[in-house]
Amino acid sequence: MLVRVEHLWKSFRGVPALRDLSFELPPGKIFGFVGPNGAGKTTTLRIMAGLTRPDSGEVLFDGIAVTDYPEKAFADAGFMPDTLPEASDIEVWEYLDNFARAFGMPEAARAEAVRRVSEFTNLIGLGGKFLNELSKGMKQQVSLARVLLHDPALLLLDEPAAGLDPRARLELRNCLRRLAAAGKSIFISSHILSDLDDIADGVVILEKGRLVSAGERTLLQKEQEGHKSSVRVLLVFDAVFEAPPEALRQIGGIRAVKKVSARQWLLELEGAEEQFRMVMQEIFRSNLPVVGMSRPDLGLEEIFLQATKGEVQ
Amino acid sequence: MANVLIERLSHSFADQINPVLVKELRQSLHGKILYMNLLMIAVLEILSVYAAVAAELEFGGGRRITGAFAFYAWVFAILSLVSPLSVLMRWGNERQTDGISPEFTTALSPAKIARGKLTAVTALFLLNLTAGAPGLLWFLFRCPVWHGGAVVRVGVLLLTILFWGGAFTAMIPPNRKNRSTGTAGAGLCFCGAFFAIAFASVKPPVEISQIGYSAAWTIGCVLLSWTALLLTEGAILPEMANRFWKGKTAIGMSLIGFYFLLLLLGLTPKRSLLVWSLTTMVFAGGLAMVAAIAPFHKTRRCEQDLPRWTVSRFFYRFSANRVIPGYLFALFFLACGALILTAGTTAAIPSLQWQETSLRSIDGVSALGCCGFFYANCTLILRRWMPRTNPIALLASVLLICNGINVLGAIHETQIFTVVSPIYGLLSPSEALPLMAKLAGGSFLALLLSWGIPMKKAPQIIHQ
Repeated sequence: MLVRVEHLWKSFRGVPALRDLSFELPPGKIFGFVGPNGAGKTTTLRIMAGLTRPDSGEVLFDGIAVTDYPEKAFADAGFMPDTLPEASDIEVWEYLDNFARAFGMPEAARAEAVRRVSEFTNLIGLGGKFLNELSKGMKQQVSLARVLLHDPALLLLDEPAAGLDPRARLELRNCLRRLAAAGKSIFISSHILSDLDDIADGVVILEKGRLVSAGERTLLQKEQEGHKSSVRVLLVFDAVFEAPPEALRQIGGIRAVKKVSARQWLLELEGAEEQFRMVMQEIFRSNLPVVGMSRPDLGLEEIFLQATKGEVQ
Repeated sequence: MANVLIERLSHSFADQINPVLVKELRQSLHGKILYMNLLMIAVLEILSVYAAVAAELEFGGGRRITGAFAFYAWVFAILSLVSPLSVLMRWGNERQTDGISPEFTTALSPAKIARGKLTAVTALFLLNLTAGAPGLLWFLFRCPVWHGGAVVRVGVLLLTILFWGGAFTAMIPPNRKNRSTGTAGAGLCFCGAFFAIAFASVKPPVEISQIGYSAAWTIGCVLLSWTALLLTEGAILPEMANRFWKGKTAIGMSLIGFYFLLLLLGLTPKRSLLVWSLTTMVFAGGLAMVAAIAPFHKTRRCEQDLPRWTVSRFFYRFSANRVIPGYLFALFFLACGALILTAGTTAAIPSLQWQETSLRSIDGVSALGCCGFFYANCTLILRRWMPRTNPIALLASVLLICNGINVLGAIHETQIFTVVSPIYGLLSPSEALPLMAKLAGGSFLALLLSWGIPMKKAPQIIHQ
């Protein structure tokens, strides 16, 4: 399912939360949704889920505006809010069964759906447990199971990994990978960029309610690399130096010189590719003892940090 | 074959039960509150009946049985609210932790959610009533005086209060920092219940039959419960829906409900009835002025969400903006006030022996109500011609002009300058009422005519 967000504006009591937000999610991909706190991620997800009305703009699922027909969002999307299910005095299977009822499933289909999602999210054996007795990770699994009950084509997950321990995060990641393999589109907001790094095919970056960057990851990496990148050069001298050697001072374009040991020095270069070439030529011309070079790949974290300024509304 | 049919029927029936009701009942059956509540009712029942029997054997029946019954009825009435209120408290917590959002992303409509919650409340209340019924019936048949009517009245009023507790819980916006909205709703119900029991236990006037009185009471309570249901539904509608229309209708219906409930009860003597109708007329004038400055626009969703039923469609369209329903309610109240006033003055004046000054003040106050309508009509006519001007500014202009020209009264003795001011109603009450009524009627006619004249489009709301 192709999802298009077009020119969304939303403000709460005069404070703008979203300003002309537009992006597109291709079908069957996992897209990360990142931005500083208060950037408008939850508001965007709630609008996409059909829960909040934008001041203007539209969200289109396969060309149908869910802002006008939220039923389309309810049928085609599963929204997992950032809060965990806290209902007391209800067993896990009852909780899931109730939601299956709410989706209008008849008894046989209900039982099958509950079994299917319980199996998928490793909840088999926990069905008889009370919801408020579960750990955070388990509640998150229940929440994910609920979202999958009606087999939606798009999953909108709001901070699903928040507050989970590393094992639960790993399990969640595995679940999401399997869902993506099954052809689901997943739009997932998270603060933990390393979690998204492994699984996201693309990213939407938001800051102060404005779109900073959006697209497939490879494209974004190229885009960021075109602007700025960094290279590290390791030098190992025969002599011992307490301060940076004199030869280094004469080379321009070096961002930082770090001392690894009295003989080992690390140069950090930053800039566009043309600048690198010139600096490297100069280093070699000066006969400096280069033993290694590295150019780290841009992860989501680097893309995010380079794209945003850390501003909140 | 029959077994298969029964099984199929039962399954399809089970599928049709409101999922929210199923959830609430499941939660209640798992919790301790329901069982503790039933146990307490049983203990109360046994103790009260035992005490009554002991008193009867020791001292004979009569007043002691009535005393034991009064104790039982009061405590039972309060106890019967405990488990139903736990549903509301759970709901408050759900809203506080945003547990309600996932429900809105399902096929459940807000109406179904509201109905499910309030049906669960009703079911638990009826369960408690069933548990306490043996004791209640025992007392009813043993008491020297029949209290069946009072029991019915208290029962329906308590259920109405529970519904209003639900509406209250739904209407308070959830706050994650403060205490649960459910607690507030439950607290309100408990407080209300004490007054309600006392109110409902009052003996009806002698001229009204017990059955008629209790029937009128029940009709009033059903109307109010329905209002509470609409309010609940209106309050929990998500932002995507046109969330206000049912709430607005409900508020209007509740006003009408209260109005008729009090009339039906016949608790107001004739003199107070006149005061009541006068207040209604002034209120109607005020309401018309408030409606005249309300926004005219409809939401896009409102246009798309037209219900299937013609009657619902009418109500839906009728409540699509705030001006028309507000104005129509004002008209309704004006008509009610005028009717009661006319009937009251013709029927009650000879017996009450009104003095001339009192009659003049009746006219004066009625004129004030009509005056409010005149201002509202003028504002609405101006809004038709100047849709982009702030309606509050238009109303203020109307008020300033109509009252400002009083000054001209000092130049010329004729009352023509003061006729459109409330001062005229107060100073010349006997002449003011017919004149003011004509002015209000005339301006209303002008307003109706102005709808037929083509005019500028109302301003579009442009965001950002």
